[in-house]
Amino acid sequence: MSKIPPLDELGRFSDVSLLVLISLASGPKHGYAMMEDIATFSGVDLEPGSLYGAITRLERRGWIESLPAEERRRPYRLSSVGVTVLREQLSTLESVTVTLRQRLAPQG
Amino acid sequence: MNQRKLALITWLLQLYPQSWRERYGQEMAVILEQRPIRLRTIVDLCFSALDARLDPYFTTERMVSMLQRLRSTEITIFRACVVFLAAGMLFLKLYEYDAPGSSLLEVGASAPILGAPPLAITIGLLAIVLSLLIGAGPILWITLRQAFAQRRWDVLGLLVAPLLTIIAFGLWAWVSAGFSVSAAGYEQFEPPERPQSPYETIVFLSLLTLFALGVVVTTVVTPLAARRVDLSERIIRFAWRPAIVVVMAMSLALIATVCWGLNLWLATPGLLIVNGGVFATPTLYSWLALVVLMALATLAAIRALWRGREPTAPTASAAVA
Repeated sequence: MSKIPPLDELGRFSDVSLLVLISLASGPKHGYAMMEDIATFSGVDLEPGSLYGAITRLERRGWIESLPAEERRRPYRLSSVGVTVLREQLSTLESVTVTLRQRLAPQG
Repeated sequence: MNQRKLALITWLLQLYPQSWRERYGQEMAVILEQRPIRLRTIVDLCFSALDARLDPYFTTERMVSMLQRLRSTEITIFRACVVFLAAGMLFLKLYEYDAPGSSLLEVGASAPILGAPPLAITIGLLAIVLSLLIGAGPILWITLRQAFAQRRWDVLGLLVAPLLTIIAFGLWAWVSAGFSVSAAGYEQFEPPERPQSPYETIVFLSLLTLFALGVVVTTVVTPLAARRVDLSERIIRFAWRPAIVVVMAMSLALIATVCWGLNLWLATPGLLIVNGGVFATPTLYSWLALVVLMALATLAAIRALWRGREPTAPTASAAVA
């Protein structure tokens, strides 16, 4: 199996890309719905330029896929590779969270 | 949504590369319509657009799209130019029966205003042929070389077909001219005052059919061969300037043809009414038909040249609408 490039390769769009992947994990969404969803679960008020900078890169890497356009909106969904990337990110985040909890514990 | 916001969205989308807009422009426009556009939105879009413009993915895509457009333009101009050349040759045929000292040549020699347009037409046609050789020659050469190297018999077949048609036309014209002189015992360029025999009519019609076939095969088949091989950006760009010259020469020759007919009409209208045209019809009809054909070809070439110029961004209002 070929190695999936890390999310960090997306440069300044890596954080936004992770948010997009997390948003699409609950099902296909178009751009505006993603922005609303991201604002709800993370509190980040994304701007359209950053959102589409991330979408462009994720789509090119095959981590998300576009669905047939609905009028002028085009929904996107996670691809199987995207799900794998998201799982890898989750394990990294869990490890970070565990480390953070351990380091903050003595101070609490 | 007010017009100012629409104009702002249009402007913001224009910041992105064309290929990006073609893919994401509509979606982005919908989002921008649905939310307030703040200063940070504009700054964010400016950075993202800059990012997209620096992205080799979109630059390459844009370049490929531009080259495809250039190639299509050049092919359209080539087709229009072949049709124009055919019309120009038919125009020169109006002088075919003009033995020295007779009507059209005599009038042209006596009045410069009538002699100048045919000269301009001839110069225009020569300029077209020359530019065609300069522009299309390298493309033909590369196409042939690639076809031989890659054993692309389909491409070679497409290139040989027009050549065969032209050879067939030339051979048949030569053979039939020989027959006409020896069998009928008259000079080839004698004015056609006596009625044509059925044999002569058949020969004439067969020549005309071969001529039309040559034009159709050349315009349809040759570009197909050029489309099937990989042409470098350099070759495609090289042909652009000769294509511009071709269109200018076509315009010049068209104007000269129109002037020729108008001048003749004003100076010696009788010459336009005599049956000196193609199919032994009045010269006026032949002139009108040729002007229409030349005008259509020229307009098609100008339109192609206009559409194929350096790509400009399509209006973002199209993406917004």
